[in-house]
Amino acid sequence: MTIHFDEDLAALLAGELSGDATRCAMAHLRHCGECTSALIDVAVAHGSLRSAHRNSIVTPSEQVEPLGPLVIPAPRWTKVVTLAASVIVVVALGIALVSVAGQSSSPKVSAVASLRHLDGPVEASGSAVVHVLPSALEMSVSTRNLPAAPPNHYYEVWLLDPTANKMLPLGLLSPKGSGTFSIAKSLMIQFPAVDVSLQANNGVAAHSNVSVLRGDVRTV
Amino acid sequence: MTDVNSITQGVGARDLDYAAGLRDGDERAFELAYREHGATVRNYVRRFVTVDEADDLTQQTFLELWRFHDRLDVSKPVLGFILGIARKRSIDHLRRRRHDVVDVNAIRSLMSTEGDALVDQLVWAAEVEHGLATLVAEQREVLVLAHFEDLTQVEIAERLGIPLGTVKARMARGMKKLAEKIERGDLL
Repeated sequence: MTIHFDEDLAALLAGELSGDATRCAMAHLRHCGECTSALIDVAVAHGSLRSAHRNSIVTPSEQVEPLGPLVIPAPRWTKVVTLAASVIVVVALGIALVSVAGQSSSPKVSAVASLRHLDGPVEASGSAVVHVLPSALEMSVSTRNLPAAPPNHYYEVWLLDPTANKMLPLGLLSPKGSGTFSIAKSLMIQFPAVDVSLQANNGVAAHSNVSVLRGDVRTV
Repeated sequence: MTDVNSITQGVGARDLDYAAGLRDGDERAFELAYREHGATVRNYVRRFVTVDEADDLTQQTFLELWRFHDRLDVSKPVLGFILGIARKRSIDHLRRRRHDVVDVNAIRSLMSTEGDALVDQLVWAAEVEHGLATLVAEQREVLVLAHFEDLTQVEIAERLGIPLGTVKARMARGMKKLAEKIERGDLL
């Protein structure tokens, strides 16, 4: 009775057979078409699994460091509605600007945010509009019914990552309650919200934890 | 040590099941794609940029996948399409680093044919892992222990408490099955 080596082929490729067993398998494979055919399957599977291991997508470090939450853009219908609203706003702004200052049309709006009160007065609100400029993004923040900052205080605008609770200062609001800030495009993905804080003029650069307005940025 | 289950569970979803949904803008398919391939994309871009930049680039990649989902060719692996986006974003990112030192090797491995080969290898690895995940549990288990944990057949028999002959038989059947799937192009 012929003894086949098909169940030892994996061990042969992995280098787990002894010298005698290896020579025995070799001699058998020279003459056994059945085992040679099986060897092709084992070799292909072996090489493919080695490749999968070498380029494995799951590494121990990835297992202990989960991915951050995915920022899913707004659904299409929301985009359409928002876009339509933005178009109206942009057109109105464009007409106003042209009529007042004789300037050319506004740059493209890429995102908007509606700012609602947090620690500030209930009647306070605001908005942020992100325009696309050739080299960067520009965010224009305007507020309504925001009282003048108390003596030795000022309002500051921040980009916010609510998930990681990270904040990035953009700059100060003018006494009229508005401001325009230049932003790198990548930051808008990393920080999907806008925050306006009331800061004491005490030399501390960190956020005061007094957020008067806040809103999520929505792409349009 | 790599957890056997983490490998096979990590490839549970099958591209063809959700590729069409992804192409049609289905949000659930988009989330599945992120869950399925997010770690791969981050691992890939991490070869060229810092950890923080890798997270940012991963988000950018999936944002672009969402924007251009209608360009997805559902007859090809989704991961290939996603890694193609990640590769372009990585190149753009490194080009913008005007004031930082840019790793020449990173640029080379992204932009040359070496960059194509790396993406192909990652896609192939993911396909093989898909195929592995579809084997019966007994065969998959011994193959993962042998190829992802580098255990010998004797060590596998000891770990699982089964005869060496059973390990050999399961391994032989599993490899034959996997080879058949590879030959038929039936890994996904």
